Amino acid sequence: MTWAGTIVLDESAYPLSVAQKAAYALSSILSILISRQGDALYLVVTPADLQNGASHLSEAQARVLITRSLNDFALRQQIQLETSGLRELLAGVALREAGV
Amino acid sequence: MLRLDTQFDIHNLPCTRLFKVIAPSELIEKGTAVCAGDASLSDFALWLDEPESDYSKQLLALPVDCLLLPTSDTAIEGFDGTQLVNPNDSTIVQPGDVIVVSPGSRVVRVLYRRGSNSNLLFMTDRCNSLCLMCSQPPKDIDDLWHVEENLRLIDLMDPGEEQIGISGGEPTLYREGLLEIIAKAKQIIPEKPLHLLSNGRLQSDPTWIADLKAVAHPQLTWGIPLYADNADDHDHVVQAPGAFSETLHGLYNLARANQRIEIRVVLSKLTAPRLPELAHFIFRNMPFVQHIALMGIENMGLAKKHYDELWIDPLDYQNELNQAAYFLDVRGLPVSVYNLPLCVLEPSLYPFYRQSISDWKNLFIEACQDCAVVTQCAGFFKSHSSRWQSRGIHPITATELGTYARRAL
Amino acid sequence: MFKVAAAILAREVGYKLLPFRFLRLDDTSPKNLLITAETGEYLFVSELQLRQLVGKQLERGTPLYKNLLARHFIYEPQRHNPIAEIAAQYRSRKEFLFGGPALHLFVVTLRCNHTCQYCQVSRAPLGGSGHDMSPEHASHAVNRLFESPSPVLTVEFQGGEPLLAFDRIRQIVEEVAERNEHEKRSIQFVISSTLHHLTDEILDFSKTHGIQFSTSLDGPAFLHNANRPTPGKDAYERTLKGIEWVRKRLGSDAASALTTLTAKSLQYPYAIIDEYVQQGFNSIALRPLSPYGFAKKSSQRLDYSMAEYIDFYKTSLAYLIRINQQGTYLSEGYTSLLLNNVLTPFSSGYVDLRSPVGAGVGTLLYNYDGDVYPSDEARMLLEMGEDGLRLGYVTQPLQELLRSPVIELLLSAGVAEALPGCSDCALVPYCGADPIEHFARQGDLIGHRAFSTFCQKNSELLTHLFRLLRDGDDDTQRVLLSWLARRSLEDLPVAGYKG
Repeated sequence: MTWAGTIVLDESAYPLSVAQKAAYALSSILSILISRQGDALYLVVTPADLQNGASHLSEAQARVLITRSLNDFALRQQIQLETSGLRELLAGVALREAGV
Repeated sequence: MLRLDTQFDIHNLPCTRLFKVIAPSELIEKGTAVCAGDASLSDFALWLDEPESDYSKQLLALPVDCLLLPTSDTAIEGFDGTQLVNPNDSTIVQPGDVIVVSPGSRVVRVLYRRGSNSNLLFMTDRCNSLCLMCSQPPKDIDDLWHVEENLRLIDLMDPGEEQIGISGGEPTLYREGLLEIIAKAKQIIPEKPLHLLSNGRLQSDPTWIADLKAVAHPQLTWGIPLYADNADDHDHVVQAPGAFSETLHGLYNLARANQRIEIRVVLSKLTAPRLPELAHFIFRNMPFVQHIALMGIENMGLAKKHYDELWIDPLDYQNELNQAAYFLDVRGLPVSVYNLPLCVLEPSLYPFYRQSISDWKNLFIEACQDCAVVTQCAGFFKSHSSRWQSRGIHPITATELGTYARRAL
Repeated sequence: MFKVAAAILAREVGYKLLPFRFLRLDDTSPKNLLITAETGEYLFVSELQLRQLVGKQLERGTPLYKNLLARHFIYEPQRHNPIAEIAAQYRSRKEFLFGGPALHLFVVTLRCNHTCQYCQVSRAPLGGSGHDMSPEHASHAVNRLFESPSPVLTVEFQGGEPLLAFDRIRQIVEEVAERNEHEKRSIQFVISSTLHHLTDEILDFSKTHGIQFSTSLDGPAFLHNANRPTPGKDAYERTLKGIEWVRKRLGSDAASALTTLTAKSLQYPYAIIDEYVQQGFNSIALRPLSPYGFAKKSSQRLDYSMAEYIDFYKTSLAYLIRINQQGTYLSEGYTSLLLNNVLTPFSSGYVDLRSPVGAGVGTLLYNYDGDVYPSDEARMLLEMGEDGLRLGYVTQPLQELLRSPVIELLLSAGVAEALPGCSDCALVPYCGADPIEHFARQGDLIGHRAFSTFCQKNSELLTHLFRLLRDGDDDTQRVLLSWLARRSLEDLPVAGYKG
């Protein structure tokens, strides 16, 4: 059984990078094509063409998965924005101490 | 249980002096070799318990600066040096001890007690923290003179491998003096492990690293208290904002200086609830720590004033203690539990128990009369009182002990 | 819905976020979110708590707040600066970087008497010596070994069957021991062998130099012999004889064993484990087939999906925990190193689960023909016609070998924290990068995480372990800790704080 669905995102809430990461993470079960139209991102979704049970995924289930993935990556983006640079700073301090 | 000071009538003492108390037989056999370092006969206080005997009268010819007459009320004729007579308690000072006496006072302090497990070098009454449970409340005075006293004391100790503490107040407040004392100890008494109690705050200054590396004492351990895994809680216990940060920096600097470090935690209502979390914090952030000491609280000094904040019946924190001790032990960090009576301890904690209260501080109470483990128990602090007594105190029977031993193993 | 909005950040708050990652454990527990800090410290929280944490709505002074502060998920500006502790933990985890390659593999011959279908190396007939390492190459390799600054070194002999070229082993061990009089490193010798060609001479020599043996034991006789055919159809019997002999001469801990799992093996988790119990081992390594060498060619008959392996692993782990609880100490190797990664701030010493990648940086392999490779797997790619991962020749100084463009290539794909899919993954502090495996399976050093069996294995196993750590009863915790601490269960009467 195959289907195709479209999800429309407000890019101010879900930036392109978030949509891309969600698409990447779900690649093994969903094929997601992203395009931009104005302020919105269009995600065209079909089940991935593999034998691992993806074909059993209904459109409704897929929407749930994608929504959750998008929200999770949006949250990660928020954390990343607030902590940007700290990761590199910490690694730098740590390795400098060790004489690297 | 024996105090470290008593009073004598003191005759003919022109200035403050340290004396090594010595019995005639030992003096004749070993001479100044009885002392670990630099000593001459003038440093001795000759112990004469039969001052009127002919033998004693002959000994008066020896060029010692002091006589100690434990059984006399009066000074004797024929000796021009200092005489200590008429003690209030004749058991306090014994041959082998090092004492200090000052003009204008009857007080005789024992700075070093032969055979004791808890001799220490007292550095200062000053401190840069003000812990709620401080058993030695700080005084803001200039007492740098302790440094000289300790340097002299090191010379007069017995040689031997017992541990020597360095304590206060905050010993690191006299930086040069402390380093000089550690260096001298390395030279004169290198066989004695040194246990330095410090809050580690001043070691946040990295210039200590080079100084400590230069001294390189082979057996120096820093005992540093850490009361929480977060600044608010720790700073509250030590009543010093910023102390947590400074102590952590100090710990890292001491590790860089290759120092041996022990973390100490006094168990109170403020520290027991997050004890497991503190164990986690120590393991993750300071796995180089050599030992963790978890200690029952002493009802002395400021602790009395802060009873309501501090007192928790040890029975009520056995779970946290168990969690924390095993967490550390499983991950390879040595743990010891001190200063608690055995009867309130969770039996699974027996492997960590040390019979620890300093021999001059501990006692047992009436409830301990028929206890089967009294010889292995630390007992109570001498300062113990009923409101600091656990509801769980009870004599352990031999049968109970058998069960505990099997469970503990 | 979460808005990436500046509004929340502008509000006056007492704490700020430190970099951290999260993972949904996909279950019904109220604490179904795993959050992991840059230090590798972790906590289980609920959805609501995560939202509050990021939304700066946490109440100060609560146990959760203090835990987040102490484990480096948040910090309080103007108050304690945690950078020293975070750096200390980070450094501890990456300590392997500072010492140079510590694992040195010597392929002394390709000759072997087995014809294992999953073999990852080419095989040569027993009689010839054209596939043996020359004495000159061996000496050069010893020089390379000591050019590594690492104070701890492991020298592992591989093949084919290395005992068939025992003279070469003898030469190498003696040269290393002699040089070490001066170098004073801590050196461990291991021979990976079927144990079918042991002699008294070999064992005497091994005793003198503290050499340990690692062998393959795939399970009971029917399984082992089916996987590992020999002309005499007696691989199992001869291996057991070898194990017994090694133990008798060198001590009970001198022989360790690992399984290699074929599709047939997956049907017999209990039998395999029971065999290890019966043979008195205290550790078992249930490793899945890797995609190299003959294994790849025979994939029709040998291959199974990673999902099937993971099911097998979970069944085996549950069984292992049960028998440990009943008093038999038998730890699982991969689980033990994952536990080390999760529960301690230390690196595990296992080169195949590291970031930056262990290959080259942590391991070097000296092939029988004088070529040098960054790992065992890189050599096995030769079977697949791939020599692109060769570092150079054994006569080149170590510094030059490590400057090979291959190393740079591996590092460019070998820092997990920088890879797509890994950089956001909550498990990255405990995992690693394996560009060589990705290259073998996907044809690309970086690989796509969603299709990566390496990722699937590690993320499933780690997630399974985290669930056990979160939900497991006291006895389960004690067993896992007994593996971490290498202590018997009786020595661990209390599991202690779960964290």
